[in-house]
Amino acid sequence: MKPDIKILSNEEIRYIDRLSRDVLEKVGFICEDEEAISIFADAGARIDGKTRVFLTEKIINEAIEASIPVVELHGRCGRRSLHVGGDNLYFGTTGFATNYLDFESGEYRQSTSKDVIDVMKLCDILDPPDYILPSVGATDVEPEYADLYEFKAGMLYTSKHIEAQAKDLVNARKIIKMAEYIAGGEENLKKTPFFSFLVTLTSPLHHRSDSMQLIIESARYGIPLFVESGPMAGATSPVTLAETVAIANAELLSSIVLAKLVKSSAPVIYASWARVINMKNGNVSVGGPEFSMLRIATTQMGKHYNLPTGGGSNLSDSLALDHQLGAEQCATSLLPALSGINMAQGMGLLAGMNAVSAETLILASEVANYVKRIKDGITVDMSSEGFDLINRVGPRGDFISTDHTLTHFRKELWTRTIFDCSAVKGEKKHLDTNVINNAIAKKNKLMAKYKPIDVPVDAESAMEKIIRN
Amino acid sequence: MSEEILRNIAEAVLEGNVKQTTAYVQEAVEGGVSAGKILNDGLIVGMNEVGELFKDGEMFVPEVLVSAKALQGGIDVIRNLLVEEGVERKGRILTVTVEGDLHDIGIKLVGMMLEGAGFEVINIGIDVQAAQIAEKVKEYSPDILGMSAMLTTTMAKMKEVIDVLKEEGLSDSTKVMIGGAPTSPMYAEKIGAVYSEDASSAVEAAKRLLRVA
Repeated sequence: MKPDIKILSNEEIRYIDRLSRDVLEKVGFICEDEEAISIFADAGARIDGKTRVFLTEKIINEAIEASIPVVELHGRCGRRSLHVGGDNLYFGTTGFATNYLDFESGEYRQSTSKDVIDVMKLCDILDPPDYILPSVGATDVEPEYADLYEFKAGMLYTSKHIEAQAKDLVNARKIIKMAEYIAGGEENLKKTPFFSFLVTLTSPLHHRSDSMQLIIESARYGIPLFVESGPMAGATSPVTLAETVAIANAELLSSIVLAKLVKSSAPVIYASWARVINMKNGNVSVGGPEFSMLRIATTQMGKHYNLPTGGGSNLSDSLALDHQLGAEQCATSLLPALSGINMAQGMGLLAGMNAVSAETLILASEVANYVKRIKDGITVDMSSEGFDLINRVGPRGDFISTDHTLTHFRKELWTRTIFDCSAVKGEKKHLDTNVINNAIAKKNKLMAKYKPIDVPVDAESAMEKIIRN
Repeated sequence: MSEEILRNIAEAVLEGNVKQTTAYVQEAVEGGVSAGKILNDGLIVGMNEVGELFKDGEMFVPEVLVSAKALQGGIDVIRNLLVEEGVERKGRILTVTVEGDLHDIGIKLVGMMLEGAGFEVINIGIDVQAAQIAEKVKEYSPDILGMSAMLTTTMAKMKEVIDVLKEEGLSDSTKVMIGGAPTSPMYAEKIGAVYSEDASSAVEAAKRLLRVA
């Protein structure tokens, strides 16, 4: 069996589901998009004033009935696609930090479009990430084009699946254009959409026009949607975690309703960044125990609706590459993974999502692989091979030089790449070999191995034209 | 022809293919390539590549073991020829697991890597008392004695061995290397030995000690 953990009982899930539905039916939500309001109204929702929407039980049920449990996310250049759903676990990066920790020089600085490209290249060759949401913000270009430059880097420097963020419908359409250019036309892109759209929701219960438009446009076009809600317990949602999950769930359900009203076959991933605020200073915290607990809970809710799940994971509040970073990255990766989350994203971020560094990404990747090994579980094939082997080697024998070990060790035993497991060194020498140095060495080694991906020769200028048009 | 077959031998060692290695070595012998050349420019070249990959974390213990087996198979084919040709090895190393200790996977691995680097390696077993070790040192006159211990309780026997070697006047001609989980550079220094943390660094340490490349 595969390890499987839960934090909510079936009865508790039913309570949260009921609470979310009551909220959507009796409290309602604000929707700032006219087109979305008319779609909701046409389906039988009650509209109060200009922007307050109240859903009905029927609308919600119909959306849930149309759930697609597995969404296929494509890559390019012959990469295998991701089957998001079931028990499959994928780790990804997430955006958009505007600070870059240049670890080797020891300084935090504003991130630039060069950082966007460098991190994209590293993401392409590092494994995981299995998919990439550009994690660095390009602060040196005009703010209205930043998301486009981030997507452009994704098209030019990696063949992995890209999860794209668009600040509004204009930019979403430009992103689709860029992707169509790379795919060689709309038809090709629709056959294997190699990017999905990230939709971020605003809490509590307040749907912005840009996110509603992005959902409508993507559903019509057939681009997979990664919809995430991120209420902050104690600030934009109740401080009690159960009720925060209900708020996140209500926001997600209403968004999914919209996508399904546009097109019932729209592929949607149920994702959440439900988190807490730190009452010592009011900052957002994504490294504490509640973050992992909320992720297990939101994953359980998504599964309850038979939807693929995703959300924040592999994160830390720490400002440094230290013990806290490691402990928090591990906890926020392992717990959601064991609860069955499909898309765990956050690799490379630190300082509570405000900064990114290449070294943190390498560390996060090591943690992700560690967690994937646990997730794979213990294989018990109950064949007679076990007895035969032990019988052959016998008492006082050694197993290390058997063919059995040679055949199985790479799959059975996790292979560390940077975590240290060397012998005790004399004097100060042991301080020279540590995980951070190993991470730096791995980063440099990988970057030297990066190979440009196959794109049309005039891709750079063609994309520039689309962005600036 | 000789270049190609030597490269094939090295590749076969790298792949850990025992059958292929012995077949290529046989073919080389029949083709008139000298045993010394087969050893130094074929088998050892392959094993050196294994050592590098092991050090870089690209190859793992079970894979190194099959490569060592392949190398061993190759050496077996030319063993007599090496003696006839009077091919000099880089040095003779005696390996042993000290009294009270039955663990020999590590020391075997070290031995295989040393052999692969061109040293002559003689393993005298596990759970061997200090006096017996000294006897063997007298008998074989090795350049290096390599001792292994897995337990903190048996590690102390290493010092005893070194004391006996000193008493018998053997410590000038035979240098001592140690390794194993409880040992450390600090302990090695205290008892007058050279420490290495794994098989590939043991090869480097042996080369340094005997000033060979």
